[in-house]
Amino acid sequence: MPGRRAAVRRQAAWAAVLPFLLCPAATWAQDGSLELAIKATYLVKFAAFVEWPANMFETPSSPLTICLVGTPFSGVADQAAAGQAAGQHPLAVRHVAAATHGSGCHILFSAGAPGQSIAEALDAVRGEPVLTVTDLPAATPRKGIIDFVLQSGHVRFEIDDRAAAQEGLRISSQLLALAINVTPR
Amino acid sequence: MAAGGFLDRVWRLGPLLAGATAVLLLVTGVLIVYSGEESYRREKIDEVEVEARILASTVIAALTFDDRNAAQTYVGALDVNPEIEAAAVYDANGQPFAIYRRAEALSVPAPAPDLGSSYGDDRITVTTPVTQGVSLPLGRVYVRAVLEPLSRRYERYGVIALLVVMAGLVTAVLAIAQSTLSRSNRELSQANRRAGSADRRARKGGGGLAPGAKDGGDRPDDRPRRARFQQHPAGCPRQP
Repeated sequence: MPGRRAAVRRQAAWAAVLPFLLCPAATWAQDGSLELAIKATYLVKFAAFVEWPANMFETPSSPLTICLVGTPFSGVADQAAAGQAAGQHPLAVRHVAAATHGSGCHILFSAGAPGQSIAEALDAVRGEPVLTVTDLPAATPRKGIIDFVLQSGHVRFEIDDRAAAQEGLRISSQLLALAINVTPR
Repeated sequence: MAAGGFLDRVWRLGPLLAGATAVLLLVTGVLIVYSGEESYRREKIDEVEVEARILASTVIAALTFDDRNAAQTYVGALDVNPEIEAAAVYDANGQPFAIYRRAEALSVPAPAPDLGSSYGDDRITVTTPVTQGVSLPLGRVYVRAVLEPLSRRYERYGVIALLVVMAGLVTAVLAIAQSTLSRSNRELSQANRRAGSADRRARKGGGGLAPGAKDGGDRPDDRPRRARFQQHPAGCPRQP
């Protein structure tokens, strides 16, 4: 029965995310809320293409935590992550007021919060194997390891593989191949 | 004596054995060709399945992040294999996501075909799933390959066919030669028996050899028999 419930949850989560994947991205991007929904979905999907050091997990089936600081995603990320897993790690979304060192986050998305800017959030987890994700303008000097970019109406992303390597993360070549710009390690 | 009888029987069965051998060679040749065709087809299906699985694992990220350009690049890479006629990546809804066609006139099925492989019309088609992790379905990959033309495949079996024909010819020639020899032996044997009985009759009637026969001359009743022997095509040694 627990297995059946998990399967139902997985199907429900997939059903929630599927429409976003099936609609043309160009159409989504015309609407700000849909664009955010895509980014939230992508944020969850990044987990499957990144390897963390084994010591970042207590057990092989410990959850992979996605922390959101000041997120505008309003629950879409929670829906997208429900019932999903990266390898053996079930995904868990945690909304936090501010990023802190040693908080147990594996992925951190910061949109800035009243008490903590995006740069401060990035600084807070520096030196930790945390995949930082941001959605900043191109000219911004400090960005996360992955930064969302809107290109021709499609949501795409840039990857700083060098920063990922410095933090002990290994990003899949498949994900790197999709990035519109990669900073090599 | 028993061994001689057995050999005699084998000798008499010679033509039959030669014919059976020729049939066996022919059947073996056909089986070799059939087996070669089957293994070639199985091998090609395996090859196309491997290509489809490689493509399926390559397009996971492209399907996950809705990147059609990347998927098109991956599926287009199949162009290096001249046997691939068409290929397609389908999304989770079964709609074409990226398509490769070697020629404009070719098409791919839509929506995505059922999973599995099939063979027909000298083409192999394989449809394999694209999944994230163990169970999350992202889409499907379809690959269609053209087999070598039948004429070219049969060229490979030409050597086998030639060997079988040559072996069959040799067997047939041997069978004919053996049959001819057997017939000659039979006739000689009959002639020998007839000569023996005539000789016995002559001994009973004349009580000895006719004058001049002792020094190599013919006996009076030898002449017709000799004339008969000379008419025989295989010839016959002079009777003692």
